[in-house]
Amino acid sequence: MAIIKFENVTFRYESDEEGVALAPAVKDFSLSIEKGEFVAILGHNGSGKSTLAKLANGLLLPEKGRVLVDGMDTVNEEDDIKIKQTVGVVFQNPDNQIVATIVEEDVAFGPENLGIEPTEIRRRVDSALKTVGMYEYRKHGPHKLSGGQKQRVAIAGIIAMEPRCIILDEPTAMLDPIGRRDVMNAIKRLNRDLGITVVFITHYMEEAVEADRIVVMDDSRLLMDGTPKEVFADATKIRSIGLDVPQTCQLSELLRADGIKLKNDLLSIDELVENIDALLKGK
Amino acid sequence: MSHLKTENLTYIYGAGTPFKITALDNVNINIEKGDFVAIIGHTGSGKSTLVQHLNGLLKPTDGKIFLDGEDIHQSKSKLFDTRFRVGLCFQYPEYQLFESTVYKDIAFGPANMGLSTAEIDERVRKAAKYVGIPDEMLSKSPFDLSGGEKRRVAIAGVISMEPEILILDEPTSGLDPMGREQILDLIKNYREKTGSTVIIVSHSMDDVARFATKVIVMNDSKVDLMGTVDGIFENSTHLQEIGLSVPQITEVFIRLRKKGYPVSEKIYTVEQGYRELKRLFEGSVNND
Repeated sequence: MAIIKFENVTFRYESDEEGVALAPAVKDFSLSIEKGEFVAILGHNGSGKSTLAKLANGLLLPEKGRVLVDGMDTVNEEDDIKIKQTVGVVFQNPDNQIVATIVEEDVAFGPENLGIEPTEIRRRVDSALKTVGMYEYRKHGPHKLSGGQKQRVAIAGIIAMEPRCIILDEPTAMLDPIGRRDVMNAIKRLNRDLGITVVFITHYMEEAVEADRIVVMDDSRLLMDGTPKEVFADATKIRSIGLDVPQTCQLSELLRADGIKLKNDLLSIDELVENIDALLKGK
Repeated sequence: MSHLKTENLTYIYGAGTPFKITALDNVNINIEKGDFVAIIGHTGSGKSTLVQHLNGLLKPTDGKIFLDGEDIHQSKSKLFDTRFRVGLCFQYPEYQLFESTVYKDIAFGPANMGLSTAEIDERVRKAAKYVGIPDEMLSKSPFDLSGGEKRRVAIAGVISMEPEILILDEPTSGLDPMGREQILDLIKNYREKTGSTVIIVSHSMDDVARFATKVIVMNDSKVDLMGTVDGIFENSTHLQEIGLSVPQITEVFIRLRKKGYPVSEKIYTVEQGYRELKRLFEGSVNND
């Protein structure tokens, strides 16, 4: 069964001050995310990505259609707590997500609110901090950490609640290359080692290629849905909505236009180098 | 003559306390008129502290900063003058919008320069045009705009002072690919039209490769390398050691060379890569 299911969902934010109704942020959107998947959601600013994240754990409720979390409809208030335990959300700005003055207390905040036994909280906090590689910093003050470290602490805080699905809304947007790599590795571990379903919203094409599946949003609707190879093979379509394909794809696209028969789905440096090598040796 | 120069610039946060941290350690940089400078370095390497010295926001613990040969801290009036000649746009500048309308926000700088109402009006409209903010948006509240629009309004607020040196701290972070292109284009445009010197702090090696005429690499509070794009990126192993990277495309050519293909390693953009690979494929046809 799908862990998150959007069925013909439409959502619009409240009208502005003058009372003019706003266009829907999400329009007739259907998507089914299965347990254990690693899904990346791509789309330019304002395409509706973040609204999806908030609809997926009941922070926002649809105007039309419905959102099912592990079979529970998000409009049912009696399931609200269970829904929020099932799906955790990590936001873009790490500074807005830290609540405590010591790293391990911050991570313990979620499980404490769930009324979990102290010994079990201790176990979860340690295990979550180890997963994101921040265990050595457990006694530190969060304000002295780098952006990437803070973001990993925020992720640990979500893992400690043991959700079955984690949605990350541009978690790397404010980080430097090293911070981005560390957060990316932590996310991959959650999916691979703990079997947590990951929904990863990003602007970075080179991060999206790491997912099993990419969903592309445009103008509040679903535009594409497929494996990274399928999605990036259509460079023209990706560009038409203000996104871009990885540099390796751009390069092979230019060469293909000159009749050099490189593949159109070379997403990594390794794949591109091997394909060039094979072509040249084949001659 | 150099346009902007630092001499043995040192800055210590919390000097005289047990928490002191040396953020800049004997930094010497030299920027010429019209340069497009990129400052790169991992988080905490001193990039932002450095740019905050260049318009006199921070006062050096030791060392000096010269604008057209004059010490910017030599007098109060010199420092005041420097703040307008060197415009600094912080990281995530959209969080610093504060006025009730876009117009007033952009006008804040020029108004502080003591310009007449007519001059201010001209500056505001010109700056808005540079960043692609249409006239009808000027009367809106800045808080009703999208993230990308807010960022452009914030940049217009600095451009409206018509600084000779425009400094932007990570101007494209958090934006989508189209937003990044727009911001980079407008910076390039501003530089070409006004002949201004531009300094950007960036994490994107791809952008640095495409735009910069000079690159300054910061590491551990010191200037690690300074030179042209070619000169910097040929040190790919060293850059990786200090937590940076080379453009993805450069990596492709490093691998091809390792496999024994006669390709240049000095490939930093998709366009250069395309020409080099085309040469390689055509060469292999001719050899048959």
